[in-house]
Amino acid sequence: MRCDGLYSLFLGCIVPNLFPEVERAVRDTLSKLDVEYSDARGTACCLPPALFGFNKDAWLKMNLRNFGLAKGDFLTVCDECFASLQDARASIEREGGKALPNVFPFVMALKGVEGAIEDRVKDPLNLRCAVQHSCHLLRPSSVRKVDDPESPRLVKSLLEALGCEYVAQEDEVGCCGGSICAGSEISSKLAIRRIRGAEDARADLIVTTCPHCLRHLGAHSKAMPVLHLAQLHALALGSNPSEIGTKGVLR
Amino acid sequence: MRDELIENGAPNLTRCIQCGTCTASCTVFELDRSYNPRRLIQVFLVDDASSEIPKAWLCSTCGVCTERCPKEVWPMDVMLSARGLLVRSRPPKDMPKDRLRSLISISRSGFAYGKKSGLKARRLTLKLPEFDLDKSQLEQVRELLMPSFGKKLKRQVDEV
Repeated sequence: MRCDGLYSLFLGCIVPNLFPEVERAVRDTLSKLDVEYSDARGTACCLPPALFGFNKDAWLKMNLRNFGLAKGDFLTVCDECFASLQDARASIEREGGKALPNVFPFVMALKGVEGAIEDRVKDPLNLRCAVQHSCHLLRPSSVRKVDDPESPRLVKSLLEALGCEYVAQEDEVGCCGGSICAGSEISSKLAIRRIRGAEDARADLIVTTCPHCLRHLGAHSKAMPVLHLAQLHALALGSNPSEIGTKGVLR
Repeated sequence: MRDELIENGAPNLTRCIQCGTCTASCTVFELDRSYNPRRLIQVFLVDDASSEIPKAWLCSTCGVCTERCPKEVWPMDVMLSARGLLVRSRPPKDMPKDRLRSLISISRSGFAYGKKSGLKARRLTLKLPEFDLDKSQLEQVRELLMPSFGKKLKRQVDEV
């Protein structure tokens, strides 16, 4: 499935508030690939059930308001927003509400222009990338409909189009613990395990599509760079490294 | 408790055959045996779950259980249904501090993760548009958000 018209960019809160360089990279990537979009201005938190549980009344009302502000299909840069909006949309439509705009994660927008990416890469990156696959993008796959949940291919092929090498890890789709409540020992253990896995695979960096993974792994990593997929795309497509947060980060 | 959980977001709860696929594939159980989703669902189904329900906060929401559950019980959603009941009906002490902070942040700014200091200047340097809700938009958000949460939580948010 793909978007027919303009995308309406739903930034969520982590990217614009904590990682503005990733937002710059997202915007640069979309522009350089001629993906048309406008900002979904005035939208607020998607109240992700993964964080707060099902508070159906508030969750559906907040997202009904968000959908009302969409000027096309939503394009999300946070996979937790993607899952929350996708589920809210299904819930509202199931309960007899009107048809709502569709929701596409950033990777799906890239997949739609995959052919153009290879043509427009200015600087093949030649990096060994370990991927932190995002739980909320993949599972449950019968609902998300994005990729194979046990052996995902989408991010791999997008990285290869940039000249990167996808580095296989032992537990390919393991969770980084980024959505576990703060202060839990388990969330740290999981993050450290993922970073070690990337180190053992001699990766140059960890790449993810989800700002929760980015924030969490970044907070636990000492030497291993952790970047959002958009940052690699922007870099390969000729963005200024100091504007997209890659300057001095990559070897 | 069982009926509330079902109604709130676990419609297939009673399909559970206690096969243990959820626990066998659970990210958290492997490291912390106190979180056993199969056992927790059993408690939700047949016992008074009041002392056990806060364990629903231990779920990592990785969704592997839900991907693999052969009866479409969707164990992750069972935990999210339980969390929803906790957020609304319990004193906020049962709610992890970071989640409470996030809810407070939403009520103040419209977003779960607030701004870092120096953000405005950084966004300007990066030629990014302003990213804020105006007063009336924030008022709208608060009106949609607040009626759903337990009185004590609401009071706590109001006090901030």
